[in-house]
Amino acid sequence: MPSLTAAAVVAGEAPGGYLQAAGSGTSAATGGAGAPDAVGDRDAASSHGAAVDAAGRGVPRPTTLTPIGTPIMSSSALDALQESVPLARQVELDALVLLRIVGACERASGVGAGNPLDNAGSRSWGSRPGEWGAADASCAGQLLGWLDSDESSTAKRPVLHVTSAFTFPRTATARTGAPLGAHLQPQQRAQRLREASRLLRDVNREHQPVGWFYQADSGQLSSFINADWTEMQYQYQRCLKNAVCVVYDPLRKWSSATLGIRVVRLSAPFMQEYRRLLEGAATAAGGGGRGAAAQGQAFGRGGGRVVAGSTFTSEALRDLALCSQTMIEDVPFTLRSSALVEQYLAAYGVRSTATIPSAGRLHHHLDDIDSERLRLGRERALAESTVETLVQDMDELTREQSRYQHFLRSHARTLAQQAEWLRKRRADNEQRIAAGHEPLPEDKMPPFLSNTQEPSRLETMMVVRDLVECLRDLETSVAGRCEKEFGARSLCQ
Amino acid sequence: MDCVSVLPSKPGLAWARISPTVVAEVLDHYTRRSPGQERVIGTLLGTVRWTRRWGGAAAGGHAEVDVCGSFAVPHVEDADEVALDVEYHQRMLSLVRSAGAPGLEVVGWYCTGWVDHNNSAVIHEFYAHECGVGVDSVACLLVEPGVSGDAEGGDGGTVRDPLVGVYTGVVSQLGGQSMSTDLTPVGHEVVPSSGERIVLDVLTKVLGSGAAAGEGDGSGPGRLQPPSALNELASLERSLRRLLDALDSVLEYVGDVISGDEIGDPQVGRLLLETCAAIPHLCGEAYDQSFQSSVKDYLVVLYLSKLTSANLVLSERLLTLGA
Repeated sequence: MPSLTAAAVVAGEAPGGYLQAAGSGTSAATGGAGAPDAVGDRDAASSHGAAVDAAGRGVPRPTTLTPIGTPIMSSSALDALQESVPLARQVELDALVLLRIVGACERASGVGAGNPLDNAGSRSWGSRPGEWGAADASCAGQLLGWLDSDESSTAKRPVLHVTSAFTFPRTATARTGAPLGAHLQPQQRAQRLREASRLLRDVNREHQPVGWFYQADSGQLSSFINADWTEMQYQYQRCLKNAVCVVYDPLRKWSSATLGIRVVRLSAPFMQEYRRLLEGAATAAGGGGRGAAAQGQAFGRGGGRVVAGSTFTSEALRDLALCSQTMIEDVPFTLRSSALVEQYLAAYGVRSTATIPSAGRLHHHLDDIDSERLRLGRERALAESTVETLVQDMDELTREQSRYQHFLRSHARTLAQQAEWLRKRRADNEQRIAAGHEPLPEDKMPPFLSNTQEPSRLETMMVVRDLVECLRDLETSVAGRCEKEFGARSLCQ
Repeated sequence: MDCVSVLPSKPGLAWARISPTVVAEVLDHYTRRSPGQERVIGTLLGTVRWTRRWGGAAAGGHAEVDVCGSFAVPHVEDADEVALDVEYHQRMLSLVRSAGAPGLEVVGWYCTGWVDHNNSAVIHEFYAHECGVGVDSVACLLVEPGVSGDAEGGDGGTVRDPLVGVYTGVVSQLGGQSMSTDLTPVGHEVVPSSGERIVLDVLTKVLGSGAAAGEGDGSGPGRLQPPSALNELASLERSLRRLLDALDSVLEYVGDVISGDEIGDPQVGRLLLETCAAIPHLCGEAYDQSFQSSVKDYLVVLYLSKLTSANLVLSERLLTLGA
């Protein structure tokens, strides 16, 4: 097969660069081509392969891959690449992507799949929300597509097209633990992702990753922000400037039979701060110990000294205008599909609402989402389970807050002690000047006074944001439920 | 001379349930085919269930197939021969298996365009060999990507699906020796799962409104609104309206039967009776009480959640180093 040999050749000659870190892949796309093609990639690969080697990190074989399957480049090269890529303001989802995501998530959690006539003729929509024990079976996968930054297009701004999706590989023992397949060796996983992209390329699909999708926690409405998610999204955005995460919330279909899809990504200030966190962690691990004193000192408000080198401090948050609200941002998205698929969908829609003449006029196909929406029984369980998990989250938040308050108290005490010490030192210096000696320096404090390290606010931010999302959706669904109740009541009277 | 009849054996595949995702994928693959290729081929994934529902006398009963996914396989075809990229198929299959999807296996293949050609039989036999079952248990999904004339005028007339057909292999035997494999049609239905149903509904609405060049509900063509209270209300209203329409048509039908315009169908009558009996007796004191209590519950939850979110925002502002 010609395309197979081409892939082999490419893999052989410019191994580090054939499936570009999609920074350059997307820049190849922005170079004018719509859908990337093999020739364009190869050219870009051969020209870029040299650059990568020159950058010093020298990728000898495609075994050094980031967790998302793109080859590792040095930081500076990555930054330089990313400067040239415009930030997408809008995302276009293919209809097929939605179908695939929803299908994959459903199959992973084993809910309501396929046959509605399974239970002795009665229609079942899967088990009730309270009976799902499958909070660990959340599924995730890779999104593929291309970036359209053509200024002359009607949207007049860079648009990220998402055209394909497939699930992440995971090992056979994957039932519990990290749902994102993190337990699979990162290299193996990256290899598999590369392989999948390569295979898709052979059938003329876009093969460059543009993000990933994630199924939100099934115990709680639209709750997806946790440490794993943040880490993953950070990795994606580090390698691809425009990486987005499509979050699918399976619970919305129970509450109101609507589609819970959101497209989110981390905001730029958050990325900055998180990067500091990761790099700080790396150097701390390398340098041993806290490294706190060695990293210099910064001034907190009120003149005290808070050690820099801890990330997500209040000061950093203030500087970057970062709070839980600005942590992640929603990217507006639209849906599109090819003409054939649209035609099929239209025919399907027509068929499902048409009446079958043989049964008279009565066969309105109300056995679909509209009637499900009107069902009254479901939401009680949903609301109960959500409130329970909310309570747990609240507990966690309270713990974080009490920890922070503890820090505040000790910080205030330390400030007082520092002031005291400074005063004493000044008094000493007066005396020494009076006696003709050298004044002692005022800067060097005894170490026990200068080790106040503000705990990272990252956890708090994540928990708060998650809670805010969950509460908002809870309000919406509960309000809808109230309306339904009132409607039912008026029907009876 | 003895006339030995050529007996096709009974097909082992009796019913196929197809998810609309698969059809969409096939159409998408067709859109992306290389220039010069007339039809596309790929593998179908799903689950097979063996039942004896159809009272088969044949050993092993009959199979029902649930098709949930698919992937494309590159192939080369001309008048005489066809070459399928088997290695690609194996690699893709191993990838899919490693993705951990429970119980997905190869159940057949799909193609577009046409089926009655020798090449199709060859491919069918290959897939049968892949699955390890007989030729008669392997499904072939045929999707016709063209627009046929009937489909356009089809919203008032008979309902049929012009685009999708499922076939399975039938081996013709002559005196114990298999002669040829033909493909015969098999009953099928396109059934979405619950989540897919919602997606399809959303898609038809959103894409349809896009075609109608922007409606006045604030969403541009093809946009999807984030969930909000207004949207919930709107969708609830839509559901209620459909319910009312259905009730109206039922009443009309009943009126016609009573007045003698139409002969009542006993099945319909039974259905109506069952439905009326299934409605719980909702009116009265007890219902009022339960209604009040549940509404109160929900209002409490609403109040608490608003309180909590306000508190969260405050806590974030106040609990910082500067304060």
